[in-house]
Amino acid sequence: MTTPDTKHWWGDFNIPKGEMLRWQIGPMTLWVERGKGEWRCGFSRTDDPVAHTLEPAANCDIADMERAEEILRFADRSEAETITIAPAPPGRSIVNRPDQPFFVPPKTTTTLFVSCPLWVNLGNSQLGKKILDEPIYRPSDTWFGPRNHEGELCYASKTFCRTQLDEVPFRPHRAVTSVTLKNSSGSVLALEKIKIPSMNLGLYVDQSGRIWTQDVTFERNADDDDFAEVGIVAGPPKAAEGATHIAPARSTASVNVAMRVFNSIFR
Amino acid sequence: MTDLLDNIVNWLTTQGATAAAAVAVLIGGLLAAKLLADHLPVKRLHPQHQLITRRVVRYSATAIAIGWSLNILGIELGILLGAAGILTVAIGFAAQTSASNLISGLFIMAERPFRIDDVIRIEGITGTVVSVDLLSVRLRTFDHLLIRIPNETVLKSNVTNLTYFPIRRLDVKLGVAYKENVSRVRAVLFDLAHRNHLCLEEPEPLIIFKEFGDSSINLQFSVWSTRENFLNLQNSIHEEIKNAFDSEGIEIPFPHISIYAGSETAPIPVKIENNRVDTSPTATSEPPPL
Repeated sequence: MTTPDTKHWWGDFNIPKGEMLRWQIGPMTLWVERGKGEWRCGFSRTDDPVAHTLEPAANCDIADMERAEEILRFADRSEAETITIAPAPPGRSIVNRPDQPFFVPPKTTTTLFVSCPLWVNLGNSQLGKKILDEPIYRPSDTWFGPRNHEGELCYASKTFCRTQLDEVPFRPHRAVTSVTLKNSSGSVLALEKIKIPSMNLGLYVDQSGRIWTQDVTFERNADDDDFAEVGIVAGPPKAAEGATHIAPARSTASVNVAMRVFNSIFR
Repeated sequence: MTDLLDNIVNWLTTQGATAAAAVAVLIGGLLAAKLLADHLPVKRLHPQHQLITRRVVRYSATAIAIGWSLNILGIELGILLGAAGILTVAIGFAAQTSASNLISGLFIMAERPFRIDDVIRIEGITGTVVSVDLLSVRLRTFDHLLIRIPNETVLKSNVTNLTYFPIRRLDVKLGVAYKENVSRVRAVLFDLAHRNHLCLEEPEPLIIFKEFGDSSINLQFSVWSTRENFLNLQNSIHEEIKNAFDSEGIEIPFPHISIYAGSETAPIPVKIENNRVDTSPTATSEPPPL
């Protein structure tokens, strides 16, 4: 049996036949059982987006899975007893709406810390890398664009637009993104919404166990539009000490250099 | 008989090479047309555009092959085309409906109000577009029936494309009792929309105060979803509204009817015993006047 690691909920886990492990990752409870000739996987979620309980790979009774909202079975006649659990970034961009109005004065650069919900992937060499790809917390859909027929489908999230890292709470099911906002224009940027291309960002973990994405930079040049030059900084996030790579970006498509990333009210 | 055979042999001797060349050009042309149409690099196009492009290319190449082949045989194309024109007019008179559908089909293909796999509604029929042909549009309805609608009908009718835009609005019409606080109802509905993850955060949900109805305050609760999730949202949101109103004690009224028997007659007797309404004739000493 695997010794539980209290910081990390991902990795390779050994589950002997007839036994089961349970993960509590924020709002999601995940059960994995190695049965005879099959793997059984169950999960259930609460509606609490800020749940922060972390209980990785706890031993539990087989009957415990009956609490799951959904149970999936995967045939595997091999002798494999190892399963890989990995975090993954969302499959769409995340539109963050500041909890309170946030303004960036002209010719100013600031750094914000926002976060995005993570997905959990489950697999192994026999079954494939991603037999399960489920959001730990299912965010609402939202539309981001100037009109109802022009734009893209994203996930919605609220953000406190924190500027200090020590104010960012630890949540095992969310990844923190450091966003550098450079307002090079001559007008105030009144931020109503900001779109983060989360699916294009790789995941890292720092020494404290907090999950990060790659850093993102936005530079706004024109006074009267919502477009910005977007940059994804290669390598680990600068604010994360001793960060190591844990998951690749979901999409490797290049991000447009200039894209609509704000919904703003110009003053 | 011998003369006919002699003539054929004679013609083949003198024109055999020409005939062989014409046949070779025709067969080669037909094969080339098929190969060209099958291997066109159009996989990136929408299935409907692929179909149209392949057909245009194949028919054009076939026409060229036939024309070339006839030209080799020494047949003048001008005469043939003239004859074809007269024939077309004759056929046109004989088959006006088909011609009308054909021309309507060309207009539909040019205008493209819908594509294959779109869900459309025409004259009360809703279904998924299976094909857009020269004479008709075929729909597969949700109860799995194939319906063929002539192109002329499609062109003349109002066509609603339900899947043209990526997001759709669902309008839920509901009524609440006059005693309810509308602001509280509004808050309950917005909270419900926020909790349902199929409901888009943007565009924001909308509540419209429609009217003071006969039995209720009538509201319209409008929420947005992706076109793929529309049906799921329609199912879930109604149930959630009912549950939320039940748990919050918000009454959804329904029409009440008061029966009045007239001034010249006594009222209909109703007796309530232990919260049970007894309307049986024995509830009163006199039979109710009817």
